[in-house]
Amino acid sequence: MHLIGSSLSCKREGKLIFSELNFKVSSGEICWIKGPNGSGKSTLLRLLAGFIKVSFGEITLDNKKITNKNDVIYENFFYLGHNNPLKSYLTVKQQIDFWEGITHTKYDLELDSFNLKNIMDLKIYECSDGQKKRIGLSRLTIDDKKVWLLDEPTNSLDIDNIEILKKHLKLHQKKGGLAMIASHENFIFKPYKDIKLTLETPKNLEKDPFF
Amino acid sequence: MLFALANKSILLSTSFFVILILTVGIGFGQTGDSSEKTVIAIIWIATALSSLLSIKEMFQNDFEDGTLDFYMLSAATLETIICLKAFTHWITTNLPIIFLIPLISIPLGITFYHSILISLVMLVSTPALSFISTLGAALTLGEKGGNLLLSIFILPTFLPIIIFGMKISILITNSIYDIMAHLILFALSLICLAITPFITSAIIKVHYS
Repeated sequence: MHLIGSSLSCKREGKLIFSELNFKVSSGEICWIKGPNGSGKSTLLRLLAGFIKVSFGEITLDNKKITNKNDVIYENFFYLGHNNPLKSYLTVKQQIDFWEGITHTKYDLELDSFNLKNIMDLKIYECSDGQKKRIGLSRLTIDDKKVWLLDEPTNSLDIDNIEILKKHLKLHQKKGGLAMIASHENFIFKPYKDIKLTLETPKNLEKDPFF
Repeated sequence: MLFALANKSILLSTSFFVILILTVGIGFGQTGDSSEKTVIAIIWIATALSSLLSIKEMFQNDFEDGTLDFYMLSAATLETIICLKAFTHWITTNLPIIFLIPLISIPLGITFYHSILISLVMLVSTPALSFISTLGAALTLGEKGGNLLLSIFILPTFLPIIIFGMKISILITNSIYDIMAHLILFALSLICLAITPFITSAIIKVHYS
């Protein structure tokens, strides 16, 4: 499986966020998207997930063009943004049941990879930020997808849980999945082969009369 | 799944309905005009207004916390999700009101038999309100303070159903029960069920890109 972006550009509200971006990520590879704040890391991930339109260039997955096709179900992508998709009035158990209901897969309680057993009956608004992040990440095991798009997955995670996340990334690699991760933190990726996309800071496009 | 889609606004919109009816009822009581026609108008307008109350929450929370992203990438199609949302909205806001109508309209001077017929009319026509509401919810997605904008969009689209429903209800109080008109309202609901999910999902997709 290959995810290829060729000369990708993205313009939003008259500003060029990035341009002429080329990359190729294959099965078993993890791509680390680096860049300063506001350089378009999140935008790139949302673009890959199909939430934002590509201005120029194209994205292909296994030689199939997937750029700007509204009717394509992006069934291969897992996306976790920096806001956790959790409903504060549910308990952890109900939240997980809800995901299970939509994805038709089960969270393995015996394995309990993200140590959720003890907080199952807590309401989500009672959880700490780190716990919330863990609940959000536990969806990785419920929602089984080939391509992981993770936006700042290590935010507010402690070292133990970063280790757990690393373990899951390794498993994912073994299964032949690929992952693209936007993160400031360096250390979690050291054992992996990574591809670095360093994004430039946004340029103003006022000179361009056609936009 | 339905449980998670629902939120805690069940009591809120139902009590809003009751309070609205009582206030308007008392207000009209002062004028001495308490004909059945006025009562029916109040009931229908109150239903439409309390239906408006919780529309904003349909997609807004999901949009803000990223659950909508999850829906978009999940195997479930957006149209299914929208249908479920509209259905949940109907169960949580309109269904309690329908049960309340016989209770609340008897003190206002409508006979029990007539009020049951009126709630039957409501039962078949209010799903249309919920499905039309999804359009407004999708249109004002991400808009800060979009609530007012939403009311301006959506209330006029409720009009055909309100006019039709009110006419039938007034006929009912005159002891004329028109089954055909009843069926036409049901058809309106079914048309909305068939069309709006596709339009709404298109709006949401455009909104994203």
